[in-house]
Amino acid sequence: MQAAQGGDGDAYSRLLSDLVPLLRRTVGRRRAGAAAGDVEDLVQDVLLSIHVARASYDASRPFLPWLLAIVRNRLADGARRWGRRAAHELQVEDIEVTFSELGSNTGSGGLGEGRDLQRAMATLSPRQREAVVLLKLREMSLKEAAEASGQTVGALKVAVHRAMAVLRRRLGSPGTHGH
Amino acid sequence: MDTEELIRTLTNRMEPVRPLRRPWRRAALWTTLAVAYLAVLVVTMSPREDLARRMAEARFLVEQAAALLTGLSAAGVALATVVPGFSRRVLLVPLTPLAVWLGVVGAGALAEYSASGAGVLTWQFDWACIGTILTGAAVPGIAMGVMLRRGAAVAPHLSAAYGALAAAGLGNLGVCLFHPHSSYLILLVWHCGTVLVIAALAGATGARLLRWPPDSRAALAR
Repeated sequence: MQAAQGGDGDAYSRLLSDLVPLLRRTVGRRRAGAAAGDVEDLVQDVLLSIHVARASYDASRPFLPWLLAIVRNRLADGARRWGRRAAHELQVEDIEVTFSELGSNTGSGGLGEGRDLQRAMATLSPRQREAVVLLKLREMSLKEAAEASGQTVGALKVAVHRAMAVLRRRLGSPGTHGH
Repeated sequence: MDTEELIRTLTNRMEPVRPLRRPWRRAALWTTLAVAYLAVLVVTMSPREDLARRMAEARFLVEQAAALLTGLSAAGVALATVVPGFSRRVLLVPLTPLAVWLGVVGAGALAEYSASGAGVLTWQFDWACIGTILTGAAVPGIAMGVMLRRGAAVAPHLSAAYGALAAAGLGNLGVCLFHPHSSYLILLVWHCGTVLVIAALAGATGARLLRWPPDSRAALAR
């Protein structure tokens, strides 16, 4: 970490890569029952937070307490976001899914491709796409998103639930989520 | 984006960073800025006429010393809380001088009540106290906010509360040097009370004031 603070990219890459299994175990233990995609989301959140917070690390002090404090903070934030997501989505059983493109799966891999996500987003209806952008990407509250979009809160909940279901099916594996 | 790609992106975009100085050194810098500002404020407002006489009183000296120590220790604690993994024991440090400060002022109020009876409890609004304390706390408060945001506010409510206690505590100290109060009861309610309310409000809104981490995913997407 000290080397990374000094700009050593190789050391930084090794550090982050070495941390991933530890973070997956830690997050998986504390979020028992969470979907693999949610665990990976939190792991990525922690890595991003480490990146943002690296100036705050004191090299004369142990690394693990610093790391675990960040993990706890991200877990608490993740729990709040999960709670908001559960409140924002309204589960609807009769999901109609149509695809405007045949054979749109490129087979080039799953969620790692940003272009796959963009293509998947393009197949959503305008309302669903707008709901995803406002609630998931910009992380607005339901009230803010309703005011911005002109949709009702209920309509937004239905739209984002259907959109996420479509995106999951289009993008295949639940192993990782894109943002 | 999968995790390996995220690591590659972070590594490619990383730049050297200057580690934050130790909390006590940052607190010393903040104190220097705060005291300089308060000195200008006191000179501008003119020291109270009875200041020399009050400075000869042990109770006044203990009261101001306790307020000063409260502010200084709260500043150190606030800056310590934006280093993830800080020891929770440090949170107790400002409580002793705070208790002394409240105790001295409270004892003074009690003495006034004992001497004058219920007449001293006449309610008196002293909004000027709030305004002057806010004026005294403004620049130290802004400086504290800037310094806290350079760290990682993993406990934003604590960081904001202790930071506000530091700024308001020192602000109150400066105010006491140019704004006389008519009784210890007024001091207890309108000075001590204002400082504690400011700290409580800051603590309640800490997560908004010290939003951490910043929207990292949006920054990566750009």
